[in-house]
Amino acid sequence: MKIQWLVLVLSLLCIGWADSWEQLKTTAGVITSVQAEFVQEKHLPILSKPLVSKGVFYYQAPRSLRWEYQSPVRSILTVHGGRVRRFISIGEAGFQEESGGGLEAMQVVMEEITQWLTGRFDENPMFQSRLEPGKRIVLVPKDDAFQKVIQQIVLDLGSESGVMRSVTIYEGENAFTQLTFKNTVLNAKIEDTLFQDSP
Amino acid sequence: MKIVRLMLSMVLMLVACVHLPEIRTIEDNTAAGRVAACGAIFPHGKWQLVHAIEIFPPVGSKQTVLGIVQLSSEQRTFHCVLMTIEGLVVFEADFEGAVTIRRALPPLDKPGMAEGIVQDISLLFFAPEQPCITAGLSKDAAWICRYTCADHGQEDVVLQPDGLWEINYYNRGHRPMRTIAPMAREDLHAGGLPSRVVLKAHGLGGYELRMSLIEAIPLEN
Repeated sequence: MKIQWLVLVLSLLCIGWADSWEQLKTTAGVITSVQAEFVQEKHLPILSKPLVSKGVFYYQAPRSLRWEYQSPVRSILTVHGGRVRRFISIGEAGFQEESGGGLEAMQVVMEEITQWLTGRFDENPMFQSRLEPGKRIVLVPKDDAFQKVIQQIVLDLGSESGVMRSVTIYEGENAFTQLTFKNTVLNAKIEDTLFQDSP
Repeated sequence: MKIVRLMLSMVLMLVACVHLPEIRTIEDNTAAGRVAACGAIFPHGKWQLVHAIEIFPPVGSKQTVLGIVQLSSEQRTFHCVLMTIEGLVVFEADFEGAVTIRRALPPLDKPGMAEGIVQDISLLFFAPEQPCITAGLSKDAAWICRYTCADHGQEDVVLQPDGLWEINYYNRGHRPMRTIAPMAREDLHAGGLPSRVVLKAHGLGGYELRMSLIEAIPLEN
């Protein structure tokens, strides 16, 4: 769960694209908000076709986030004021809040958001990071135990400054999750209620 | 001494209370068809099923995960994956007579956890392996097919008069361990699979799984 959040936050913060770590750091600070639609494809060797989830996300600097799946399971994860909440809607019961050990770990990750906001992808001690040609960032976990869970994360930056094209999380051979973003809007006004109110 | 006697009495009472539901056998020409109907509630052939699974643990908050199972009813084998809504695989295992764990992240790496998951999946999706040992009507006019399990427990498939069904698994001491039932009569997905099904694990450490079918894909042989 912590890893998912880490990837999520990293994807949000790959903004103001550049060709060097220093340029990333310089240009990252101009983004105040991001919102986009996403398609998540889960690829596993056993699946005859990938499992597709769709949703939207909203990020407001400095630390507010809403990550919302609209299908196949309706789920909303919000972070605001250091508090992480999750709501799930299945059947006719409507959205119900779920709280568990995984959510507490998210708060720890969010503490690092300030560092990432400044584009310092190469300074996270959990990952060996490299910036490749073609606006691609590759993150490889340093810890062996962590690497058994996540082999590497590849962030493909879009050609347009501030727009993320995709994030791919490799878990094993032929097992990966790919998030593709579209209709990204930068620096638009986002109502605080999106992060604060329950659905 | 009084406390010991009291405890012994309670244990004896508990043991005395545990028994399988009575079955009144019926000798007519419909019995064979009804026994076949008991086996028909399980998926036949090869399927890939995706469920949203709401887990209600004995202590703590509900958690929701996605469950993928690819099964063969004839070979009685399956491959299963549990993952978070965000797509992180937290458990993966094969069952081909024995369990092979591919991945198990905490807390699913605890001893016995994989076996429990495999047992629940087998109970949910596989028709009993042994032939029906007895069948007939219950006190409330439901049709019951009873099977002996490999662990010497008993499995009852109950066909209710209203069309709903139920699976009850009892351990070798006839204590109820699992109950599985669809949540509503009309909740049927393509292929006859129930759209929503509930599995209840009874006893200490009991839990409940509410499974909502997202996708059911028949697979080529």
